[in-house]
Amino acid sequence: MELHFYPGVHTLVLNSGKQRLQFEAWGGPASIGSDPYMPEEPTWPGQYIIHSTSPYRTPTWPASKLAWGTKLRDMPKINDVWYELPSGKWGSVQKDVGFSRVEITKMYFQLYGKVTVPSFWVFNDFGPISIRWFKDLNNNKVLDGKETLSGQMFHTTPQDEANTALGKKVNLTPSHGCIHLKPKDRDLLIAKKAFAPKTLFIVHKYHEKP
Amino acid sequence: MKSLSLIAALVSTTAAIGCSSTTVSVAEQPIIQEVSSEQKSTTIKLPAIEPDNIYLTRTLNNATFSAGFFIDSNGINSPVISTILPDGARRNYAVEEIVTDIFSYQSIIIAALLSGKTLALDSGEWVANELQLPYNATVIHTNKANLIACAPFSPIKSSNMRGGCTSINPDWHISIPWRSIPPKVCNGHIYAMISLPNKNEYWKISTVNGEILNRDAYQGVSECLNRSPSL
Repeated sequence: MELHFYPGVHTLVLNSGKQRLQFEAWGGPASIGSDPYMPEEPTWPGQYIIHSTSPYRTPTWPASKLAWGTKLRDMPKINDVWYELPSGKWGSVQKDVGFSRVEITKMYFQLYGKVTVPSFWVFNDFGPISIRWFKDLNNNKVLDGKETLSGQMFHTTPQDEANTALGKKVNLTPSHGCIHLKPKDRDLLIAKKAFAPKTLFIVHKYHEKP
Repeated sequence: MKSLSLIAALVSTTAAIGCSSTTVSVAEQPIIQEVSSEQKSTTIKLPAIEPDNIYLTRTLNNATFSAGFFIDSNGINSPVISTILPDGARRNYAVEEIVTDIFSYQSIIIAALLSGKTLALDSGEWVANELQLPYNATVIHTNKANLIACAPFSPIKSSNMRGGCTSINPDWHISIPWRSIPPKVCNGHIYAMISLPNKNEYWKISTVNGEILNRDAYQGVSECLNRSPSL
């Protein structure tokens, strides 16, 4: 099983020996971008090993401080939304994550067209699941030694998750360097074990084609 | 949580009023004006009870204006502007979109809606106004001629809404990636705290042309926003 990503033509190829499947997938731009918050970067060409498949959190992006699916409780009288902590207790989204109740209603409206507080967090920029990889410096297919996980990863976006949930068309957009997948393609790729740990993953150069 | 059936009933009642106001004789001129006023109105008066949620309050012309929601049993939030008059009486109006700000401009009380559309308070009714603001705008400055509105950058990474401020007169726009604390005008300049992934920047911006005068104006921003920007 091998995965090949061709960022210049927005194509991900799954080669399982028996089957060769192609999926639309969008990486970063060919050169550094101009986003004032965080400049976009190319999806770096190279040979990697798939490491893991799990929800992702990061303080870098405000909405990604909470994992996708974190339970929410609407508290309109105190103008807040609570989120469930791992202990089972509840914390304030306003205080701990920095989103007011009205911001949450605006974001949900932008994504789903309803003015409401959802029952779980659907704003994590990396979707429900991200797929991580690393450069295998010692060729043992295990993350060890001085190897680190790449900051680039496969994931979906809140907008594409919303469009999929609403039965709308998904139009993939360029990333900040990660690889955007359609939610249904991610599910299919997972079902085909394309992201199993130790799978070989190659990011080709921007001018290369499958 | 209250049922919104009453709001729905009021909406259909008003629609019926609008449909019946087509032919009026000259002798009924006062009614023409009244019906015309009804047609202009883009809001529905609601029972004078406290909304389920209030997230924004402004005191203007001795009245208190609040933006909030009535919430139905399914959790759907219906935007409302609630006014408490100087005599303590409350008036609630349902509006079509989430209200992002309420402010006074050229002696008119105006409500900014999420899309950038605005409503003006006219004889106690909220009516459509021609002023168009940026999406999700907060008004940070008005005077007799000018208005400066700022929109935050979207916290959604894949969004292309990266925030900025727009001035009407003089006419300029500048990209400012602020998010939670709106920029503020002090001593003729705009001060803004910019939270980037690995650092904060403190911008001082000209109100004349939107030019960034200083990206390291920590003291000015701190004093203007009346809180420590490092928090």
